[in-house]
Amino acid sequence: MEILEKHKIILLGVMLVGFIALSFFGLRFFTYWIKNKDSSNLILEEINQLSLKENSLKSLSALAPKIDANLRIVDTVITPQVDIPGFMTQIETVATDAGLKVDRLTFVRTDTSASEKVVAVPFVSLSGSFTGNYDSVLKFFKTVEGARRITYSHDIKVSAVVDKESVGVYSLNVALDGFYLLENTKLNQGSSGVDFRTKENAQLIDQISNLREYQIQRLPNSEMIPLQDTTTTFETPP
Amino acid sequence: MPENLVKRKEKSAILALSSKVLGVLVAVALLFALASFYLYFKLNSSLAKLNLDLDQKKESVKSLEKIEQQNNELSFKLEILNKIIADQEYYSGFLEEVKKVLPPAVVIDDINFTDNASVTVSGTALSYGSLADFIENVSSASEDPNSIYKEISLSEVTLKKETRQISFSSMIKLKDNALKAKTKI
Repeated sequence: MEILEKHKIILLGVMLVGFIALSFFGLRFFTYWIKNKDSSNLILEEINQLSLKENSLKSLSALAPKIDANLRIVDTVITPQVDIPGFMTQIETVATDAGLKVDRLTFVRTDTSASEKVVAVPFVSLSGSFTGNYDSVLKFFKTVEGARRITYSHDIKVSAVVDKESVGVYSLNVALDGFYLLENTKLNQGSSGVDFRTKENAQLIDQISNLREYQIQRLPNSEMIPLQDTTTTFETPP
Repeated sequence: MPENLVKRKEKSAILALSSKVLGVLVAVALLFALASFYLYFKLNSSLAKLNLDLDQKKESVKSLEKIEQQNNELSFKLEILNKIIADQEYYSGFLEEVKKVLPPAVVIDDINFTDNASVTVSGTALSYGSLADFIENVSSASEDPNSIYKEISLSEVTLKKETRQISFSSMIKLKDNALKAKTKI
């Protein structure tokens, strides 16, 4: 009888140990589960956000060719390089086409900080002196104002040339600013909030693309004159 | 009944009850441990899948980021472009307007845009009448709401004895934002 009781007590002890062990492991896995559930929720949230972004980017990627084409158009208005020769070519071509004689066209400076006007965009500034009749001066401004690379004119002085042979001839002195935005210019983080798909912006891009673009005429390679070696060698006397 | 036997019976009853209670507790602990273990491994496997999904999404978004950059660049440039265009001044409009109000006997000698609110116009007139016509034309044009002129005032008038011509200098004040484009580009 006593032996049976002893066995029962041992069994009870084993059951107690088993209970403690099972409770310990159960609690341990339960806490792991709660922790992982939190991180799983975080991952799920991140996936959801990424999915939203992915969807909006996918809808945007359908417009990739249009974005690329629009960027190329906008880059002709505010050039991605300083492009002083290009700007001077534009002004000279406009003046010549308008019937003005280019007396002087000088590069004055580039201002990388900001325009003196309201817009804080770097610009290249030229100073020009031209002669021609009043209509040519008028045409010059009309054409400059309609050129693809936006040009601000200021410090304008139109004076009649005092000369018996030059009746009706005017001299035009003007300062001209063309804008640029270098490729490495840091853009605002995220979108600026301007959507190129709005009706106004679509119209703007349409209008810009109809404006005349002036490009530098380059000589074809065949017309390049190779530099000749003009070095003279002297024989040293023995 | 002997006292010894009663005590033994009580002891065995207590042992039996304890073993029953402990048995239930062990069973509950076992169930709890098994459930926790199952949940933990189930969540672990779904976590691995989620991490894989996350990596795939990141990869996919990264591959599409170039277009987002281009879109941001375009938006940024369009914003600047709109500001530049809004601030542009159009001088051809003024030169055209001057041509319209100029009587045949008046010649412009000098146009000086001092600022965007006023322009100095100097010229030569064959007679005082022609000069008066010029002033009158500008004044009456300024009454038109679409005109860029605000008012004109003469600052100097000189009669050249040799040629009997009248040289003059005038200040034309412009309406607010008159040099800004009426329609964009």
